[in-house]
Amino acid sequence: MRLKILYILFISLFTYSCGTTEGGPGGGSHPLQQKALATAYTVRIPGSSPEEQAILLTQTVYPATREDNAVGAIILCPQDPAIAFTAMSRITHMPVNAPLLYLNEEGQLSEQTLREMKRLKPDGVFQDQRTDVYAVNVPEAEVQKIREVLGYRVRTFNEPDPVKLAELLDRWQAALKSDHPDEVIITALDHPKGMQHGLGPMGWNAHMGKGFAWVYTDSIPPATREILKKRYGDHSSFMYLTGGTDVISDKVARELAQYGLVRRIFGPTPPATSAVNAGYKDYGRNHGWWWAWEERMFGWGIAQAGHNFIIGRPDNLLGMIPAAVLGHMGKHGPMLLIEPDNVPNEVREYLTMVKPFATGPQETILNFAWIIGDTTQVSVKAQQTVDRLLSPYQVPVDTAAYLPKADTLQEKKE
Amino acid sequence: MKWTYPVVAFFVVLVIGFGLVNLIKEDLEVAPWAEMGAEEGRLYAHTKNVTRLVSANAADLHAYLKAAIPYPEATTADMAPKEDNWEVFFRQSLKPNPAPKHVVLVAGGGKEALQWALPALYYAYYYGSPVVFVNRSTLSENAARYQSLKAYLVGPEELLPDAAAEGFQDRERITANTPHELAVELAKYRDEQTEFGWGRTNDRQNGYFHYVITTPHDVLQGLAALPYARSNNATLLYAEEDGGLPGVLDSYVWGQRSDWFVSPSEGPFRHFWLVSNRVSYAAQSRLDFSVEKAEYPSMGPIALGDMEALLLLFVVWGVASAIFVWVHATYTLPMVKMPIKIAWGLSSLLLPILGPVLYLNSYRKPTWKTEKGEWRWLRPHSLQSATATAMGFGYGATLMVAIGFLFVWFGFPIFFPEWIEGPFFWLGAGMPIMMIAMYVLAVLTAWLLAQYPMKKAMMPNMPDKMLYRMALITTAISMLAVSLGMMTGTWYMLMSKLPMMPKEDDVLWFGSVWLASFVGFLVAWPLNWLMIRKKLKPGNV
Repeated sequence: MRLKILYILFISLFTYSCGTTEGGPGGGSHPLQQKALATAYTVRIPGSSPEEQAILLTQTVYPATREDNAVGAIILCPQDPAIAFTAMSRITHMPVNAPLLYLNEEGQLSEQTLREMKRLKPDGVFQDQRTDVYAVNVPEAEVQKIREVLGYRVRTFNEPDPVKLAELLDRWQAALKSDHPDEVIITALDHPKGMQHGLGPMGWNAHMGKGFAWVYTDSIPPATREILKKRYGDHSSFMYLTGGTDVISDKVARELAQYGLVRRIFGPTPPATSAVNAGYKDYGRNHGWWWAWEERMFGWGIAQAGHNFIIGRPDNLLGMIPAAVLGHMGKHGPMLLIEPDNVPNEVREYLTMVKPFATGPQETILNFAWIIGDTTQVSVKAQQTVDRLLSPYQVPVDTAAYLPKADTLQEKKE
Repeated sequence: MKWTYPVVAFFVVLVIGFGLVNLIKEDLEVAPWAEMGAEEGRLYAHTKNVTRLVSANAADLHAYLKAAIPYPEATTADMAPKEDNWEVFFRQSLKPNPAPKHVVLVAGGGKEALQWALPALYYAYYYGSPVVFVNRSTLSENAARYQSLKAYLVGPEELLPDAAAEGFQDRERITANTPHELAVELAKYRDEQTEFGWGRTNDRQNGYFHYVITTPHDVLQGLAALPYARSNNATLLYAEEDGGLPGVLDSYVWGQRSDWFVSPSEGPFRHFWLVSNRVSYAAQSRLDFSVEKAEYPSMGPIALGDMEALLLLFVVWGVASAIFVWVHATYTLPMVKMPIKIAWGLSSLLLPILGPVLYLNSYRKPTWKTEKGEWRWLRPHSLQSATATAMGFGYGATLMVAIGFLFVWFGFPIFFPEWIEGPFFWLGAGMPIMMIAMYVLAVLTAWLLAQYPMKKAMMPNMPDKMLYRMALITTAISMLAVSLGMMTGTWYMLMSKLPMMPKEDDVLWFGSVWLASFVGFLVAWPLNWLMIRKKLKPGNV
């Protein structure tokens, strides 16, 4: 009998120590809740500045109530698009599992970001000395603050040149994963729209952790050649150029071909490239023998209903770069780029192709999208247009956009 | 030098035991950080798999959704739902199916009736099912039209008496002890003939399931969120009033986690729409985590994947085998020396079933006593090799596992200076460093604390220097053979087979190194066959 009581006591203690999900009301006051407009198929993440956008993204993806839904590590970098783009391309993916947070415009760690870093409670990357924070070009004083205030382990990458930073991160990743991934995304650093064309493929890297290198429109920097040489065997890189010949010239493409196979992911505009990227797939042989062959597998290749998208503006680079974390966890979808008040035709046509439909008497396939930025970035009208495009219903979306290309009638002609 | 063996065994059991206990602890904890600032500083309430619609009341939510979900197929009545008009609200909102195959009977009346009825109303709204409201045994006027259809009485008999369905040719009651349980029942229920029920059982791997979650107290918010039943084919589920998830719901949602084989961008995706402010942040985060897509072998933390289940059995059998061998040897084989018993026990830890089988076979043989009074067993050559393998493997392989765990726990050191780049970049990489360290540290420890004293006890007259040398060579060679299998197996499992490298709190990490160690034993066994033949090792102790 006593033993029975002991057993019951033990089991009760055991189950009690597991904890519960009870707690105070979760729908408390949140300052941006009303701005986070949710429709049937979209939810807005309404950041009004890059710093706030990045924090909202980490709060979306990482509830941090236990080790498994908190982060592995945190990327911290200044508000420099090229640096953030490079860091997000190479650090985020597993096994690191790191979202990106920004320093403020003065290059310091704001109280809000510091508190968010505390909330995120990184587990530490066991493949890299249990590192909690990857500080990319962060001033030493701020790094020290993280170490002292939060007690986190910080690895610093200090390389102001994005091209060399990509090479440094390639070396670090190789040590982390004991491998140099042969698929390498190549983006133009000096073209004004180079990064905008590269956003979609960068999202694939945050999702799958492949290689990344910069080029210039008309030349290949030495650090990039170093990256490509490291791939296993001759001609073993598989390079995916983001943008057309105006962004990365044919001359560069031909020169790159000495390192392996060159492909392009491109459309005439960044939104068009983003739509191509969402449907892009390249797979086939990489290397290996019958018992240990490695395939190459690059691109989302989404050409059917039942997927999710990250939607925002191409010129909101600092907001869109950290948003790639939404492709890393949760809904795992590609980025699609739109205009502030309109969904460009290429994206519209793509979304029409992947439109869902009812599949049975009790279910429907569903699409979903995140809208990145407050209404000054993407208007409510644009969000509603996206919602209609994603819906399984055959409703008119916004017929104005379907006007054929012709002279505008309302303008008085000579 | 007898103390060295238990010290090694203690270290191994302590480290591996700590790892396994930590694994159990982390999998069973619900939301340990919920009260430690996880919600502090949040700017909005949405998370990646849970959209939280914060509203003042049902009218507020109703107005919000009128604008947010404008599709004619999913519109509801213009008036806001209230306790006294919910039946009318539903009737006006319903888009009837022109050819229904079932009719739904629910209790009408007050809020309690709505609490029991709402899960069924969600399906009825999606399908367009005719709904008959039963108020004190009086059926709503549309009842007569549907008497040829199968009637589903949804709710308890106290509210919805059997007599209400007497006119219907075929009928079935679906009820449960609480509205929470009933909601889960309806989420799972499906009859293809009558097309009633969502059919969202745990083994449905490919449906795009959405769920609206409220509490019975906030049932009107649930009714206001009815458009989601149509636009997002959402099923209604209930949380508890105290903000937590009832056991039945917790268990159900974990079964809804979908897996991925190639990339997590493959469907299906599942989602929650939370419409009650009462539901806690801890519950929201658990819901969010429950449907996070996970790779097939492990199904992610908490959930149990198929490969994970198999490897878990492997590890559990290993622990059981070790306990059996240790207890058996302690009570039945007083003539076997303690270091050898420890070696068999530790070997069995990594050799589920095979360990005890070899052990039992080794000692169910004729014995004799040496001149010094030590016992020996007459064994065939292969069994002598197995014994010799176990003597090295027991200490060496378990040490490698323990050292490997410590590396994962504290993190791999990595190096990536420019000069290391090139064909030898891997010398700075974490996995190779861990493997080399596992081998070197395990050989050194096993050599000094197990193999040298063992040889010293067997050959007391041999000079110390020679003994050290001999012990080091045999340890290094046999551990190399074990490593060949073990490291290849570990690399194959952790770096190639599993899509995501498991962490120290993952069953797959333990399962993988356990399996790899088993392979290591099989590789080392033939080598020891040669050593026995060359009389480099004893096989009859």
